[in-house]
Amino acid sequence: MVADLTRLYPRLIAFATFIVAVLTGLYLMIGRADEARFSKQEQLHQTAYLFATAFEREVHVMRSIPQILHAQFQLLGPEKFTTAFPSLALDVQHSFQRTGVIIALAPAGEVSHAYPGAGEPLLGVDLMQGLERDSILRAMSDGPVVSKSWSLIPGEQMLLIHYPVFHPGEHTFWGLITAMAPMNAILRQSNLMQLSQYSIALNRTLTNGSEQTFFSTTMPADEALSLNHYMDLPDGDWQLQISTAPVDYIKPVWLSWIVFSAGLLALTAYRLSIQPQKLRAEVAARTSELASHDKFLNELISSLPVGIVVTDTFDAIRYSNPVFNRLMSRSVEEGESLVSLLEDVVDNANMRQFLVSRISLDEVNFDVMVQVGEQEFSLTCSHIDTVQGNLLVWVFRDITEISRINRTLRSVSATRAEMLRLIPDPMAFFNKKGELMESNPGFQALFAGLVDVEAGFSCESFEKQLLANSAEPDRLKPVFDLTQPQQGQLHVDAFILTAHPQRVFERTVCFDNSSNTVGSIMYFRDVTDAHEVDRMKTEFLSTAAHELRTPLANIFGYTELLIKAHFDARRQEEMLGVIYSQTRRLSNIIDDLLDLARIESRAGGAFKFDHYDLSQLIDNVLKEMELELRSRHLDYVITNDNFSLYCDADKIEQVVENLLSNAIKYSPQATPISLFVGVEAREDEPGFILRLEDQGMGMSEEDLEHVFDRFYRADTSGQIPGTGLGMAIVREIIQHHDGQISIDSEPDAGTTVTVWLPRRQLEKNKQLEISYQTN
Amino acid sequence: MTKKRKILVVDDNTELRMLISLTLEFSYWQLLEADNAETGLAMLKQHKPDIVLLDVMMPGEQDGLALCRTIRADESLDGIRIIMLSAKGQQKDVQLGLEAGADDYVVKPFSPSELMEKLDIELDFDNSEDC
Repeated sequence: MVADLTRLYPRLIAFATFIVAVLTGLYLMIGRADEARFSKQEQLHQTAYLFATAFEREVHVMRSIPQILHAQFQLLGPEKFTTAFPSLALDVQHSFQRTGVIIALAPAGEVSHAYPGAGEPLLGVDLMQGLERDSILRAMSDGPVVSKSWSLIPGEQMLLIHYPVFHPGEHTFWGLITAMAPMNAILRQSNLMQLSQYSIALNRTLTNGSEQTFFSTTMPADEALSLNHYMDLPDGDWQLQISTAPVDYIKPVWLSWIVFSAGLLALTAYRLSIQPQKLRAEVAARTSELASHDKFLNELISSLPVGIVVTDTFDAIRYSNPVFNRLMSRSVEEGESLVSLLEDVVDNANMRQFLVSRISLDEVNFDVMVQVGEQEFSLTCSHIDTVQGNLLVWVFRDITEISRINRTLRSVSATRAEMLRLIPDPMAFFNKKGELMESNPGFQALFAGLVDVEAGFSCESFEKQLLANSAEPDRLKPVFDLTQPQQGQLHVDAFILTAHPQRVFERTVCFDNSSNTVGSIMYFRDVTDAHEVDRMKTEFLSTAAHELRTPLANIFGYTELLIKAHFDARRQEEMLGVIYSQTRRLSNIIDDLLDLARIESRAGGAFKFDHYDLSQLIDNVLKEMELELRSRHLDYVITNDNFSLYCDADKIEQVVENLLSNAIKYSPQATPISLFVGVEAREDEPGFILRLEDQGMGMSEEDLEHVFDRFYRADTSGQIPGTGLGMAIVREIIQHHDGQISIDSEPDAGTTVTVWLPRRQLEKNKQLEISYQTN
Repeated sequence: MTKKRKILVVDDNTELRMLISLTLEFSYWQLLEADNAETGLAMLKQHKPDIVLLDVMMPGEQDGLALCRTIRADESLDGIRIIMLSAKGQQKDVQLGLEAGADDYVVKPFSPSELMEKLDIELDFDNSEDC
């Protein structure tokens, strides 16, 4: 309701202003109209008076002119008067100063003379026959009459004074002396203003009682503003009626102006009265907004998970939020000293000194760590300039958890870095943008020449380099774009670097598949050995099958022939001989294979190691091979040393036997074979050396590469018996003794095999080092 | 039928060549032998045998498969039937042999009588071609 009134108030003011303005306007307008009417009335009076005065004087003058002439007529008589009339008329005109007046002489009513010349049209006019007849008749009986004429002289309204002239002494009518004056001149004399604004009527009531309008304008008159003026003139009661033309003193356009002005005034009043209302509303809105803002800020500060306390520059607390109160374990009062408060709870003896020095130095914007009980806080202080003076805002942020996480992260990070360092396989981490984040020494070593590991690089450039330096680019499936989610989490491929053509590397890329991808890990592994083992296994199986099938085919075929066909005794014996030899060959292959398999699969575990005399073992072999050696020349040289060797006697004997057997088989019967056994330390490790030299067919470089392959035969003629497994077995056995073997050979010149065995069992699983040398 | 057909065995294994020789002793086949691919090719060009029995794994520059391909590439040796004779009996080995141009592939060990039957069929095939 109040609001409605408030809303209505400016409109009321506007309405009232409008009404008052209109009324004031009307009042002023009517007053002005009255004034105009009054002044008009005054004017009317003056005009009437002037006109009446002029008219009366004219009539008197006009009456005098014929009167004087008539007196002359009486003196001169009709004939002489008529003759002298022109000069007499002129004299009278001059004496009365009426040059415009025409004086006419009309004997018996017919105009015979008219002066001055302007009266010429009158000459000959019979006044008795015209409109003047009544007036003339009246003059003949009653004396001079005032008449008017509109038509005697065309275009002129004339005031006529007819003076009847009678014969002297006879009283019979002789004629008329008539003075005529133009009416316009009379009107001009009366200084009457424009006839358009006034209506004038000159009426008279004749002695016989008839009404006569002597003169009138035809303009419609205003009944309200008219004046009747009576004049003292002969020949009737003269009445002058003068009135103004109808005038609208209140004009409609004025009313429009009043309404328009009142409207403007009302509008201005409305706007002026509405202004404070608007201001009030705006102030209310702003106030409410500020209040809600204030409330919001208060709630925000209260609900913030940080402790906030505001002090002035004299260390008196002005405000503290609930979190700070909880932190202090009590309600903090306004005006308390913050430094004292902190001193009680903070585990830092230098706290007070620190804070005071900071505040006094005006270095108030700082960040410091504060320990309160088990909790850690980051204390930030900032300086704000307010209307209440300089204030310090202290913010306590609980960083206990963050610190704990940071410590854990640091520890995890350190552990990870150490693990990464220890892993010999190359590893690298790329972030989601494909940039290298971290790599281990293995990675840096492998790709040192390929990419600038120190400078950091992108996965894309790395891939390009890898492709460009890959011996078999087809094996590589590039993973340029690590930022795109990959099909599956793992990407595995293999490659061979042109820098290491003998080595095969396998790469595993692990992608983080989660939505917030962290990147990828590239893990590299040298899989040359695994690849080689795979290849060898496959090849071995295939070769073994082939080697077994060849003698088997002969056994099978000859047996079938023997069963199905009839051959003579000699042939049969020959065939049985083949079957026998092939069966033995088969048996030998199987024995060798089993030996090899045993040695390999048990990895030395089944070896019966003990201390033996190497010279004794060699002697055993020589005795065993006496039959084969009988036809050969063997140079056996052994130094005078202690040859106590920690080994498996049977296996070492097998090595010596195999090597000796090869030397016998692959060298012509006439050439000597030499065997040297001595002491030799390698890399500070005492051991024995066994060198067997022949002057046989030797081996090519290609043969040497494959000499330890299973079933590899340097001889392709088929003339030299053998399974192709001997050297493979030798190698395996020496490997299990941590020994070394080297072969030095030249085609058609001979072969030297050197075996080195450590005196004692060395650490197990040490990779056998084989060196090849050809001349 | 009166004229003996020629058959060439190319195999490095002496015993096997002797086995083939014994198998064909009483047949109408005239046996030619070579112990490596080079000799085999020379004999092929010289004697133009009807059938070649080819071992796959042979020492020397060329193995059996290479020789097979050489025969097939040589227009002068057109029409020679090739039977591979190998201890390599896996499916892929057979496939390799046939791709090299062999007409048949016999895996060692094999039955001599079965080999004879195969050769008989080849002979009939040749005869029918002659008609």
